[in-house]
Order: sequence, then structure tokens, then C-alpha cells
Amino acid sequence: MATRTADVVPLTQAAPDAALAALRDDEIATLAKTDRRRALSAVVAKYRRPLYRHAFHMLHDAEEAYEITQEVFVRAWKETRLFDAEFHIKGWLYRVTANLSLKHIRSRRVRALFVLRRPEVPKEVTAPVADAIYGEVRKEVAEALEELPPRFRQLVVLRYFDDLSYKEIADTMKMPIGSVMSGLSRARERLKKLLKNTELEP
Amino acid sequence: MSCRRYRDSVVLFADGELTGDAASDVRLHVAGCESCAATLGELEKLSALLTPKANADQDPTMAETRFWRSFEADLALRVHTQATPFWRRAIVLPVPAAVCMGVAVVALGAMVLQQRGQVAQVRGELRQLEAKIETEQADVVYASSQRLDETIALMNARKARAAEIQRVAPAKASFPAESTFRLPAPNATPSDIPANIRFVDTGSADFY
Repeated sequence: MATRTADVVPLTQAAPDAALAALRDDEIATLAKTDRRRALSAVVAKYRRPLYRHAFHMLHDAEEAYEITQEVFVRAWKETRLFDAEFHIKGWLYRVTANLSLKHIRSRRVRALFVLRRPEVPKEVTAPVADAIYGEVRKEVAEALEELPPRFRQLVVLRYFDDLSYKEIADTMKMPIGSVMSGLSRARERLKKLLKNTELEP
Repeated sequence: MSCRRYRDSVVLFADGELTGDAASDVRLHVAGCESCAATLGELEKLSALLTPKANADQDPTMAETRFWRSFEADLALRVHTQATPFWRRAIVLPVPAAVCMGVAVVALGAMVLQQRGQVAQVRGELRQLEAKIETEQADVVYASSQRLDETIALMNARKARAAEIQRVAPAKASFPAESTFRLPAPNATPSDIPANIRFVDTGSADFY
């Protein structure tokens, strides 16, 4: 336990983010053999942006996405197998993020009954950072995504926003590639109907 | 016929899943097939709509760097909180707190009980005292009533005696003359002599 507590410290220090973020997963795993805390910093530096983006596109709420991303990294820190040879860091991180997001969406209705509505955060406060992190998405597209069932939305977000390959999606969602393909095509059909009136350039 | 064969391939091609020969094969087919070109066009349009305009891989801005700093600080805090072993979180603070509270409750209870005991004791003493006073009063009353009876009896006795004396020896005025005075009988005891009879020394002792 004592050594784990020590892992925490460097996360607060200004780490050379760019250098850490540029490491490949296997390089991070090698780094973990000598310096686990630095490897964890590298994981955070490399994946915080894509995971936050994924959570945001799933939830359309910056604060909830923030919470979920934090939770993912806390779980990563707890995960003892994270740097094992046969462990897919990227797939695991996306899987945890995707599952947490799904769970969050499903519990929304229940939570709405008990939790008071938070005051809306003024958009101009979060907008500059948000646009930089998850890019600008057109309002119609965001609304169409919101209309999709969570499972389909997850597939679309993983494919287009996170730019994962079929294999990576299959690895993330723990389903065969064939299911990924069919699910994705059905999601596209739905999305096409929803975006029927939307032109590419307004 | 060939389009059915290429239908899945076009989708795979649009998603960047095909490489090398397979990709160039699809490209070749699409060039000559209108329906497949339309499918590919739709897929690319969708992709263009869904891909965020701002490039997510661009260099982070100052604001974003600051955002991630605070993100990491927050994360470090959470990890630190979770790093505290369970037993420490579960025992070190709550258990002594519970023990202290238990001791406080017991002490308070003991104090209350003790006070109650004292009160009860004082009450008991009071009751005893009251009882004692009552019995003493009763005694006094009894004693005084006894004495009253005695007094009444005494007075009655005196009255009776006075009446007897009146009967036996009438008032002084009608006391017999000296000449008729008789000495009591020689065997008379002093109590037989009426109380109102005084023996007067006449000085004539040689009378006998």
C-alpha cells in the first residue's frame, strides 16, 4: 500500500506531457517495469483527451464527462494488470469509459428523480477548452446523436470521433467484428434518416 | 451481381479497413459503378458530418494546458483519497470516535442514574423522616391523650373525694362544737382521718 501512495505524487508535478503522450503502449508497459508512477502519468497524458472526448460525445455534458474520465483513470491506477504483457491498455481504457458512459446514460432517468438539477454552466466558460478538446460538432449532428439509442451512439462515437478500427471497437466492446459491422451499419441507417435534411455545408 | 459482392467491401473501404490490393480493387470498382459510388459518397458525407471541424490533434492551447493541469491535480487528490487503506479509513477515525461517544454516553448515563439514586435516597430519607414525625406526633397525641385521661381520672377522683368529704364532714360552718369533738379511735389510721380535720395543739397535754 505504501508504494502505491508514492505513485500519486508525480501526477501533480508538471510532467513533460508531450514526450510522455508520444509513447506507444508497449513502451509505456516497458517504462512501468522501472517506474510505475511515470508510466501511469504517461497513460493519463496519452489518453485523457480521447477518453474525455468519448465521454463527452456520449453524454453531451462536460461535467459528467469530466467525472467519468476521472473515474476511468482512478480505476486504471487500481488495475494491477494494466502493464502486463498481454493487456490491451487502449482497449481496456475505452471499454471502461464506454461502459461507465452507458451506465451513466441509463441511470440518468433514475438520478433525475433524486438529484436536484445543477445550475447550467455558462457556455462561454467551458467553450474555448471544450472546442479545443472535442472539436466543434454541428448542432444538428449533436442532436441526431442524442436521438440514437446509447449502444448505437457508442458505436458511432468509437468509429468516427475516436477513429478506432473495427478490431479495436470489437476489442473495446468485447463483441465479434461481425457484430461491430452490422451494428455500425444499422446505426448509420438510423443516423442517415435523422440527418436527412442536413447538408454538408450549410 | 458484382455490386452485391462489393457492398460490404465499400463500407469497409470507407471505414479504412481495407489496404493494398483489396483497397485498390474497390477503388477500381467504384470508378465504374454508379450505385457503389453513391454509397461511398453517402458514407463519406456522413463521415465528414461526424468528424469534428477542429482538429483534435492540434497543439494544446494555454487554456487546455491549464485545464489538464487541474484535471491531473484533481485525479491525484482522488487517487490519494483512495490510496488510504480501507482499514485506516474504516477503523482509525470511526472506531475511536465511536468508543469516545460510547464512553460519553455511559458516563452521562451513570451520572443520570447516580443523580436519580441520590434523589431517590433523599426522597427515602424524607419519607422516613415524615414517617418518624408522624409516629412521634402520634406518640405525643397518644401520650397527651393518656395524660388527659389520667388527669380526668385524677380530677374525677378528687371530685369524688371532695363529695365524700362533703358527705362525711359537712361545711366548716356546721362543724360540731368543741364540746362534741371526739377523738378518733385509737386504732384509726391517719388515712381514716378526714382531710379537712386539723389537729390543733390546745396546750392541755396533761388532759390525758
